[in-house]
Amino acid sequence: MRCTEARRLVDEASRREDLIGNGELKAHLAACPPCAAEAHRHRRLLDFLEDLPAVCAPPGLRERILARLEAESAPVFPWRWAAAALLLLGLAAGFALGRALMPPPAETTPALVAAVGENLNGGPWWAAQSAVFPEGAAPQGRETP
Amino acid sequence: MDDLRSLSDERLLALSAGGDREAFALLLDRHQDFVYGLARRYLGSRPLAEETTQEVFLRLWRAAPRYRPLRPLRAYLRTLTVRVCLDGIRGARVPLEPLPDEETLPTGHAATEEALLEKERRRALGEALAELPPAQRMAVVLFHLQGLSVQETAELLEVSPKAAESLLSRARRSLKDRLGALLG
Repeated sequence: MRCTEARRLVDEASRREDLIGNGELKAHLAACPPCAAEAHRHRRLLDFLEDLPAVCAPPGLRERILARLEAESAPVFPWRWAAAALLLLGLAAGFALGRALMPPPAETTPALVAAVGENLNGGPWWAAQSAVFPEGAAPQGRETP
Repeated sequence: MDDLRSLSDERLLALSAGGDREAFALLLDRHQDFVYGLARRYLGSRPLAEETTQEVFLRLWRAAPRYRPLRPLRAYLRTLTVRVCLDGIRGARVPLEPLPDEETLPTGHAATEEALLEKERRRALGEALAELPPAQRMAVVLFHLQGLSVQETAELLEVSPKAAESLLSRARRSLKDRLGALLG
């Protein structure tokens, strides 16, 4: 076995047994000090990794998890529902108030109908406007001739 | 509570699905070290490992009504922890935070020179692990620290067994380079 092949096999050894289970590799390591040194370093790394102590959860973690569970399971009422109900109530009140304060719609008179009809048929636009806004109540921006 | 202690994980989880907090607290007692340990070794940070452990158990609580005991609960928790760790870490630079003594179980070494050397080795190995790319680090944690097979490691990482072996091989090479004289 050549050194490159031996080094590859050492590199690929995932468990300690892999290093001693291959007879050809074992023979090479016995005769090649540099490869034997590399195998030793590899075995030490495997030992370190396998001997790392178990880790414990820090104190209080259990309680923090249970508290989060409690918070997650708590019903959303009353705050979110109360806020949603208040919003709806406000909207309904605003709508009712708006309706109550709105002036009644203008009465449709025969003159208005005639003027609008004339306007639609090509008559002057101010004729329709003076019917809708009598006594100079025309909106600002355009003057009636 | 004493009656609950004698129940299996699966039975406790079934009770948890019905809202039994005591049953769930017992599951926490049984498995929180396992979940936290896996997350801590991989993430290298106590706050991140705590956050991950909380997330894993919250997901378990939510999934309890749908849980089917096709395999041991610990295997399910391992998969969940790996997923949360990998999702949480993607693109993030994890700050290295060595494991303090109070977080590890005692190994029986007396306060001798050998114990100090052992401590130094652990610190160096922790640092070297934290420097590995995430996939290599998770492969090392699963295969070497948790003792899973290459096949199981590959399944958890969602790669082929050959790719998992390659990750492990590259990781070990990097660790040997970084640990240098400590392996002599």
